[in-house]
Amino acid sequence: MTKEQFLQTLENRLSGVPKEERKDILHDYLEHFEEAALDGRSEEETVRNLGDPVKLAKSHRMEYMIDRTENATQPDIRLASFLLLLLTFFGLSFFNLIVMIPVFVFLLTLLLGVWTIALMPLAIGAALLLGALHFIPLTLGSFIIEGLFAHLSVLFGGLGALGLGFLFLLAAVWITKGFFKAVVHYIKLNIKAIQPK
Amino acid sequence: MNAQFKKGVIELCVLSIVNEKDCYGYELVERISKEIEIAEGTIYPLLRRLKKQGYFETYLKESSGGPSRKYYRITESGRELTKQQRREWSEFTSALDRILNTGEQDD
Repeated sequence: MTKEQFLQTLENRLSGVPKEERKDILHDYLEHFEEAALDGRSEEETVRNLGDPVKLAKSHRMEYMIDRTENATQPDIRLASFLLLLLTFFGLSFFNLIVMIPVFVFLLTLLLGVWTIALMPLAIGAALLLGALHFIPLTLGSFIIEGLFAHLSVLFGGLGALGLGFLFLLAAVWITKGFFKAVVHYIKLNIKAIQPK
Repeated sequence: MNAQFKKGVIELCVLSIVNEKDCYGYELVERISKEIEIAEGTIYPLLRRLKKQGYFETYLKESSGGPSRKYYRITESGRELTKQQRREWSEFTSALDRILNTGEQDD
């Protein structure tokens, strides 16, 4: 592979990284080639020593996306970066593709379960409350104390369920955040383990 | 050397060298690859990360006859990180030494 081919491959594979950063990355390698030439190294030797440009580009892309995921202030950008990161990551190795995708899907299903459990008391609470509010005027009208008590207990039951639901919701948000953090952390560990040579 | 093992060590090598004196990329790569066999290109993503995380700063400096060089300089937090990683490393190697030496005595 020639120097031009190396740089071209690197550039092509850096799609997704903003232009400025891409130029900066390429410049680092260009400088490396120039220094190596001054050092009396042949282009071919330098290319061989640098390693596979496809893998190098992947490392740069991952670093870029991890940085963006961790530092994004807007949640939608954060989520988009996270999905891009996953996509790049799963492309990294056969192991990740075969073993980690099912694990990831399984965890995602668990997360869905957590949200369902969190939303259930909210739904029940809202239904009880609506029911109670609807019937109370009728009860008052007919002065049936027992009925009033029954409806009041439904009312308070509804409020209680609603409160419980909000607590569950907070827990679900907390678990979701932890989940995403853990996945990013796992990916970082893996980058450290990826050695292109 | 085990690949995963090596990768963690390279970061400490880069930190230690730049902690000693400002370096440009090629210089760093040369110093490390003289001692440890690595894909030399992997140093650059590492350098970018260390810079992004605020452990290094960069500046350009003209060189006689060659291209202008991008130099890496360590920051205060970079010094802290180097110190911490060095401490962890020596704790790890002395633990390893103890284990290996016991193994030898058993033989």
